[in-house]
Amino acid sequence: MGQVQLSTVRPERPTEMSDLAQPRGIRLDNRRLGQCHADRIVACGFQMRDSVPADTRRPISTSTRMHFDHEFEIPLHRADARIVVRMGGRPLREYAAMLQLEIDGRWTTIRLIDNHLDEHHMHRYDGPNKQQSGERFATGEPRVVLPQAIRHLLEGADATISSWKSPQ
Amino acid sequence: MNQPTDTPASSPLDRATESALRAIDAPDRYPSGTSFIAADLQSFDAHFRRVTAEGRPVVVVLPDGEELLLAPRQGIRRLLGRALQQLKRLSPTASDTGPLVRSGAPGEPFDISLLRLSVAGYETHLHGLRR
Repeated sequence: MGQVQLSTVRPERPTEMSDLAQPRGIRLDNRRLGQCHADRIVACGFQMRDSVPADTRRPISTSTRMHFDHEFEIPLHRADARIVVRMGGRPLREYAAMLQLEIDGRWTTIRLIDNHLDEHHMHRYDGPNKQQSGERFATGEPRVVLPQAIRHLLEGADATISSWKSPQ
Repeated sequence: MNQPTDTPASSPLDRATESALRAIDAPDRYPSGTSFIAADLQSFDAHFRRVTAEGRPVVVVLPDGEELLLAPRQGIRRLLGRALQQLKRLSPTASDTGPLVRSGAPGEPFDISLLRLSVAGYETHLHGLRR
C-alpha cells in the first residue's frame, strides 16, 4: 500500500506547483487529433482560395499546425467519456477541446471545438471521421471562448453521445 | 470529517469544471495532463484508476470545492510505486468502487477515504486551501 503524504500548497504560491513532475508518456490520443488537423488544413486551404474575396483574405500563418504545451481532462459521469483540452501559448493562443468516447480501449473524438487559423469552429464527427465543414462557434479571445467551448461540450455531451454513430 | 466553508450548489461535474477552468488563466497551477475528477462523481473510481494507471496527475475536487492534487513521484520511487500499483490492481476490493464521497445536501459534512486515494508512487497535496 502506498504512503499518502499530506501537505499544504497555498494557491497564492503557484510556483510551487511547477516543482511537481511533468508526466511523461501521456497517452491522450494524439493520432486522432493529428488526423483532424490534416483534414482541416485541406479544408481551410480551399476556402481561402475559392470562397473568400481577395480583399478580405487574411494572411495564413506559414505554419498551419497547432502547438500545444499544456493539456488537461475532465472525466464525465460515464466511465467511457471525457473532455480533453489542449492549450498553447501564454497568454492562451491556441486551443482544442474534444469530447471523447472510449471505444474498444481507444479514445475517439466525437466532437471538437478549436481555433485553428484563429477562428473558433465546432466540428462534428461521422463515426471516427471529422466532417470537413465546421460551424462557426463564437468570436472573441481564446481565453474567453475556451471556457464557453468546454461548457458547451459538457452540456451537450449526453445528446452528442447518443446521436453519434458508432463505426460498428 | 470536513466542514464545507460554503454551499456550492453545483453538480459534481460543474465543480470539477470550475477547477479545470482555472488552468486556462494559470496553466502552471496544475501539471500538464492533469485529470479533474469530482470526488462525488458516480464514475470516480473508474476514472481515477485509469488516470493513475497512466501515471498522470489527478485533482480530486471535493464537494466543498477544495482540491487534492495527487502527482506521481519521480525517479526510482516512481518506478517502485508503479510496480506496486500493478500488483495492487490484481486484487481489487469490492469497496473500492463508485464515488469517493457520497453526494449530500449542499453544505453537508463529508468524509474522505484517504485509503482509496493511496496510490503507490504518488504524493498528495491539499490544493486550493480556502481556510
